[in-house]
Amino acid sequence: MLSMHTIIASELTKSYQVYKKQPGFIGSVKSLFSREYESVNAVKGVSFIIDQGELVGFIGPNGAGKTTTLKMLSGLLYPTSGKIDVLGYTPFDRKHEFLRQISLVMGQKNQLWWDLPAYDSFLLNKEIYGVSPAHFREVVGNLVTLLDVKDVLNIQVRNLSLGQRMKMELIAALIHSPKVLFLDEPTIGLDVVMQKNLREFIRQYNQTYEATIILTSHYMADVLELCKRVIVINHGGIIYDGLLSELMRSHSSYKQLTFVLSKTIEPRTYASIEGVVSYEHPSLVLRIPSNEIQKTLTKCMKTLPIEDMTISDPPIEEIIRTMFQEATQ
Amino acid sequence: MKHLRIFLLCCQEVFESRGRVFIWLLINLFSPVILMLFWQGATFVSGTSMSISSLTSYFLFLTVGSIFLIAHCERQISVVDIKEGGLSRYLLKPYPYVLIIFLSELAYRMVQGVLGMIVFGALYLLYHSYFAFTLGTEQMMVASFIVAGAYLMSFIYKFIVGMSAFWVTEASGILQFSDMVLFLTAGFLGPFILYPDWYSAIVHMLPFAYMLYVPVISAQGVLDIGELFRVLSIQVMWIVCLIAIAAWMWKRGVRRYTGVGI
Repeated sequence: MLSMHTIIASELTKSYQVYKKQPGFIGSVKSLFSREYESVNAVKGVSFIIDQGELVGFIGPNGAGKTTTLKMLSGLLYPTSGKIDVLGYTPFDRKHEFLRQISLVMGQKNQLWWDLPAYDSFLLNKEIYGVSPAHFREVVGNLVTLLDVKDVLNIQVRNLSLGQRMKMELIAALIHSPKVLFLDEPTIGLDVVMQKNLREFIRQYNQTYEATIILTSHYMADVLELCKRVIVINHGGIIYDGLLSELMRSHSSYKQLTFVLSKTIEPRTYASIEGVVSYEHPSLVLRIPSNEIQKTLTKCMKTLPIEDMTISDPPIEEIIRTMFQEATQ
Repeated sequence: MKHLRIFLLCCQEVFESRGRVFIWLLINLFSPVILMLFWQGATFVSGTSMSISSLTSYFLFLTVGSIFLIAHCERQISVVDIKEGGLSRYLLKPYPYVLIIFLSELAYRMVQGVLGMIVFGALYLLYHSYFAFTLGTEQMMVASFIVAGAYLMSFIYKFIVGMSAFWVTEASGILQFSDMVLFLTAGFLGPFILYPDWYSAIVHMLPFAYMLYVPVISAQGVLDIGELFRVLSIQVMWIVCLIAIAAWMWKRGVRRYTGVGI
């Protein structure tokens, strides 16, 4: 029976044997004769299913196992145990039919030829993936226009800025129009304008090609703008898999109230109001449990010279931080 | 056509590094030229079973042969690709890693080889009175297969050496050792006829002589047609063995690859 899902990971585990050196000179001498190894579980029993066209955010702190999972899903690493099915293939077999349908972009790794212009790397990928000249011209033409890199196509990669290089990496990774795209920190090191452009581009690619995309990022703005669904991973295990909105709702037991005041007030004026986080005229920020919003609002209306106000969820970074703390405890 | 276009792209990359091409050419030239002068002196003083013209032409062929035939891909494989994680960009492409390294290395050898031929021409002009070259048409055809086989052997050998980095963190010692083995047993030091019989017997049992020494004396016309075919069959045997070892190592090694970090 053919799989209906694009990605199925089942009880995926990856462990490494890591040499544990005793500190100091004596430890180094001892290591000449005998060495202690310990098993480190980078990923522990991870399971999830991703359907065609989904754009899923993979989030977690450093060393949580995000990149290791991506590497296993793309076929770069061999899992210690568990099963993976991507587009009906076992990734580590690295069958050419499978590799022609996927792409992995690692923000901190360079897949382009360093000493040649990026266009030559595009040509290499054209040959490797067997892309027809017409399709190559069309895809590269579109991507070059979309990412605004026409002027730097013939400059050696080593002379490009980080942002330009990242754009070239994306073009190189998309020449064969992959159905599944693994993006590992694609916006790392880029300025905010460039980050926004790239996000817009990723969204367009996802919609145009109905591509399945998994994205890892430390920038929550990437996840907020792009992903409906998130998988939160910590210490190698999944601690949440579901809608981002649901995550925000279930983990934000409080709201943030921001008042814009019409005139300056004394500290004693807001001393009786609970949950004040900061006051810097004209903004007064409060953090209030969700079930006390009504009561607090009524009180503020009576005591403060309010000109405008907003009620919002706490920042996602804070929610995720709380989740990690809860998971650790 | 696909492989040819990839090969031409690899050539473009070689052309970008003019300095590297030139420096390595000089490195490849120094050792044979110094040893040629040494053996010419030794032959003149003490006398050996080899004539000065044979000796000179041996080293002239060795100079070009070592430039053309000895692959140098092991550092790229062990340091850049396995240790620093560059392998990741090749593993996820529908094109065998070994083939892309082979074509890159071939491009480099071709560029170096053309320069080597120019040097060969210059050396020939200087030493033509000592030059002995007696290769017939039939011998030349078989010798060209031997040359191709030698390059293939040298490439697979260096590929195997490079793959050692799957198992050891610091492979530079292994790389150095592999170069030393080649230096001692591939004919760099001089024709085996100048060495004791036991040494010659040992090196003929190893694959390294068939990567350089045997192709050089084949190109010189030292071996008759029967001996050339014998050499070719030994090369085929070694190529099969080396491919089997490389495939075995690759299958196990790539499972150990972490793509840097966990």
